[in-house]
Amino acid sequence: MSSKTELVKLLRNTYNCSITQAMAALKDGNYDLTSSKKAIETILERDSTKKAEKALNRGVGSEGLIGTIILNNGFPITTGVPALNRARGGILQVNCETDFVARTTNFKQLVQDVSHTLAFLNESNGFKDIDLNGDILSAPLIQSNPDSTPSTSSNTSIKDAITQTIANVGENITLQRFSGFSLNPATDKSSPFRLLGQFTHNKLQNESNSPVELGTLAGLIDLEVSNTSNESTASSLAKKIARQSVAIPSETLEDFNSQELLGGAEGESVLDHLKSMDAKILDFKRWSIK
Amino acid sequence: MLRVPAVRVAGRRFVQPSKVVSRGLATRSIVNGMSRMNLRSAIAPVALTRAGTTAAGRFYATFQRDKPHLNVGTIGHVDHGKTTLTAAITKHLSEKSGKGQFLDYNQIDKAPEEKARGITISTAHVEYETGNRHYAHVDCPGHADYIKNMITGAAQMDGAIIVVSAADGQMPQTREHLLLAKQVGVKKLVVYINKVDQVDDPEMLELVDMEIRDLLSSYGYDGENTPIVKGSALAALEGRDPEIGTKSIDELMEATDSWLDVPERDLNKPFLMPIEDTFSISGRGTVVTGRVERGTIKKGDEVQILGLGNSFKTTLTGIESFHRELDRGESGDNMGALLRGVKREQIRRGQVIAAVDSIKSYKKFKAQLYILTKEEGGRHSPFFENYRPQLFIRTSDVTVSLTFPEGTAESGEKMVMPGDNVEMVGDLVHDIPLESGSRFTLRESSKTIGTGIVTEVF
Repeated sequence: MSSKTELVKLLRNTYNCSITQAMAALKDGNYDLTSSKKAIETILERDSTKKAEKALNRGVGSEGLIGTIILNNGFPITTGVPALNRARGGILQVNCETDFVARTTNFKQLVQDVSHTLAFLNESNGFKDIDLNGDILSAPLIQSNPDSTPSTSSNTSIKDAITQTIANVGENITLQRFSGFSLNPATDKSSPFRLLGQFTHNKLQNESNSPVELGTLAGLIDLEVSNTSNESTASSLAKKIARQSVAIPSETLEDFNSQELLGGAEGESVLDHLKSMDAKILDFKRWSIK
Repeated sequence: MLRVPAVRVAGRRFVQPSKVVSRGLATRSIVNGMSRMNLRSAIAPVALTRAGTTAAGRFYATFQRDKPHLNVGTIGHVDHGKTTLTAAITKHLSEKSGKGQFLDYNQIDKAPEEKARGITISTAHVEYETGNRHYAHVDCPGHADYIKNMITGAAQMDGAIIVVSAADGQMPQTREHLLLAKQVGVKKLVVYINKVDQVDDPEMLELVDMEIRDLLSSYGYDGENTPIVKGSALAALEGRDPEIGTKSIDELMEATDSWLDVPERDLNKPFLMPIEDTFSISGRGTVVTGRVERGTIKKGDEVQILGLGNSFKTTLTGIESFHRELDRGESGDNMGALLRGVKREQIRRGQVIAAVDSIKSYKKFKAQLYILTKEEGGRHSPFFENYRPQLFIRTSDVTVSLTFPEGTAESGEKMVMPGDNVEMVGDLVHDIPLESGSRFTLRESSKTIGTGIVTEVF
């Protein structure tokens, strides 16, 4: 192997660039690794917009992933106001053109990072759909991992990250919809406790340590619970109800409440079960790619 | 002569063989190819009604083709020229041989959706022929779609052409393409490096070549010897630059002809016949009837009865088909087999009679399942681990308990929903002869809820 091919390989491993781009960068950088690395960044930036435009012409794809994240399910409950009602999370749908791309690490990472970032940014009281065409896309993208915070530094915007991924995989990628969940600070200690539950059907194996769950069908629910003494009982109830919301689609809360509980006693409805647990479902999101 | 009621019924049913014959001959070979697959996959559903078996009974006997047939899929990035390549192949080969039909991109991309057995699949109906082989083109629009087609038997790839653009080289999803090929059992593939005219540095082409070989090897393919053809499908389609155009198509087809293996025909496989019925004929012994699934058998051969908790060896002392005594039975035949020294009580419908040591009987297996949607007549709600439907394979019907493979995260709360492709482990109440590639259906209270293909036996 010539040193040239060795260098191209190195660049491709680090930058996800095409062979043509790697060769051009080497030429620009006089076959020196350090200056070629600088060159490739310029080239990638230049080309990615071009590539993204080309991909855009093919229209919105019908494959993709749903990312759901619970940054805080509501627990732990601390005494005092406004420490109550801390629940925060979100659900995001990103489309691409084929499920081959949806299975790549690049795409999964993008969905995780954007889900995490948007969940941080959202301010609402309950679920709120965020307009994904506005300024929000210029917000800095936060890398999704358990330790990231809203102030984690980042030098890429959400929009740049999407453009880069499009350039990498060559398919059109679009943020389809995002619904964020957060709550206004509680005003008094008697406000009911709200808990988030999530369930992703056939959850993809997580390759990173991101807390975002990925799949093609997922649900996020807003549950009001009176008995908050046992966190694990409450959160397993939330999970069970989230699973139920994913299992059988329903139009309204009423529909949902009247469903027969999966794995429940004969004739037991979701409502019966929730009542017996002193809980109430307030809202749910059930999103599917198809 | 043996008196075998079931076979006589079969004979009567077979009064109109001309219908079957004309169907077999009139259809183009691509359809034959598809029918062959559907027939293979139809084995399990056929087992549900005994009468069903006779209709297809003679298919193999009238099934003729002058060249070996292969289903080949093209896989690659949306922008790397799969469709252009397919169009170029049909054009060049039809011009060269005067056979086949040139299909341009629109015809390939807009192929109608085919509804086979109530399951929607999209398969482009493209075929081409070289001097040595006949190929049917299998479309691979996505991973999940293809897996579903494979499980339901609607499409099967015997080999694949991976298309990669010279300018881009392999892409992040190329790995996913190879994973799919691996998962569906494609043993060999050829690579077409397209758009070589967009690259002026020969060293760059070398690099693409090298990278692909590395990648192939890392996914368990023979990276070193896999043929990699470089050319321009567009040039071939537009009839310019024959050096990188039509010549590359010739080279590619030579590579597919010589490198990809033709799947073994059912006739050449070891003998196996599912037992439909058993009879006791005084003075002669016990006769079993059924339709030969594969292979051939001769009078006097040693055979094995397998399944349902009772497996033993015996000798086949007579074969009858349609009132005639035969020396030999072969795949597709409805026949009765006289067995030496066997009591009727020793044999049951659902067992198989097979060449000795050609197949084993198992209780536990791993399989890829496709669970039918409500619209396809399947379940309305999901099921969980330890679900126990009836498994139908050949002529047997056994309760199976389904669990997720070992190591599945959160398997207790995981669900399987209508429309899912899923890998599960089955535990049968009775053992049945199984092997990798065996197809079956799953039913629950007289409703088909899914189909599956065995991937591993334990």
